Amino acid sequence: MTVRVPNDPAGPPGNPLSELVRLQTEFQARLAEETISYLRRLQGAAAPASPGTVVMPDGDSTLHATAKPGGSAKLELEIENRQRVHCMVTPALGQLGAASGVTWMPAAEASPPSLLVAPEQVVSLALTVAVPPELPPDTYRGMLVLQGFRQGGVPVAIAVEPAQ
Amino acid sequence: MSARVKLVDDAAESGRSTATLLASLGGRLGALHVITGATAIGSLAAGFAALGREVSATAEGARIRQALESGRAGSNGEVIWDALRIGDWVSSHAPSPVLDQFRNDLALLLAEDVDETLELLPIPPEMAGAAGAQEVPRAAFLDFAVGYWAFSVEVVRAFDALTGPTLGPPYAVGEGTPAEPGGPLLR
Repeated sequence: MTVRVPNDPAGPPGNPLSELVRLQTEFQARLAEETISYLRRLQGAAAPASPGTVVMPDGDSTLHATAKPGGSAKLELEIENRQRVHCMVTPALGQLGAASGVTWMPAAEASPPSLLVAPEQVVSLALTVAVPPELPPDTYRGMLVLQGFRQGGVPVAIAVEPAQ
Repeated sequence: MSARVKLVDDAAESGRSTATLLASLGGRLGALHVITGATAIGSLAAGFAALGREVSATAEGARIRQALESGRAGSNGEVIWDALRIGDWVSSHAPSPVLDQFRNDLALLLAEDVDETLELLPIPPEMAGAAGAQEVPRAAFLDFAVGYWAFSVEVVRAFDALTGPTLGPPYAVGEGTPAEPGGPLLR
């Protein structure tokens, strides 16, 4: 049996040899991709664990605040460290959104911006959120996250009242 | 109105204690002898990228990301990242939990029972297992850049908090003759 190999790499449509080469190439590429993915997972599983921290809300933990456009809203969070060693806490506010569809990327200033919490210590954290003058009155909801900690953050609701 | 949260150990792990943090640090140092430099650096870079993806969801992180994205640094970074296939390389490594590792090492510096715990060494480290084997999205340049920024800010803030209670005034007054200035730059 004779197999003719044309110079044209694409070959005519339906050429069984070019189709075979294409399938073989795709198979090799997929195999390489899956192998790398497997090795990455293997490497991750065999690495030493780094014990982390979980944020657990104490009761109804939604942070509420009220402000007028052009003013500022103040959020206060108490943090209790129930772990056996110090915890570094860095708060950050995510995007806020209202039922009307308006979204707000807030400028928030935390005081202090980060803090070290000793075991069994309870600390207070204040966040001042500047409300833009052009923001329509509504209730804006979102999350305050403690950066790098596992399992979410603290729900936030800021009610922006009419200026008058 | 204020709210309250508790910081607790992950129920799936043995928790954060001086012993487990020392074991984790020892395990990381030990792992360096059995992996290549490329794997170590690749894992760290993948860890910064994973942190960057998380931080980009916050208002401050999104601002930094947008600022990088709209300037020359963002476009040049993307071009270099793609041309040198850094993204492919970084994405082929398991991300190191860089922030957890830094915070754990920092906690060790403040622990009151380090001397007693060091006497217990060697303590076998817990392995990451399934948690470390999870699939992660491809690392983009901006993920890495935002993660590197967030990590650097955290380091500065941590050392500010660490030295705050014992930091002296920015000036010092003493007695006696000032020392003769020296050094190769003053020759």
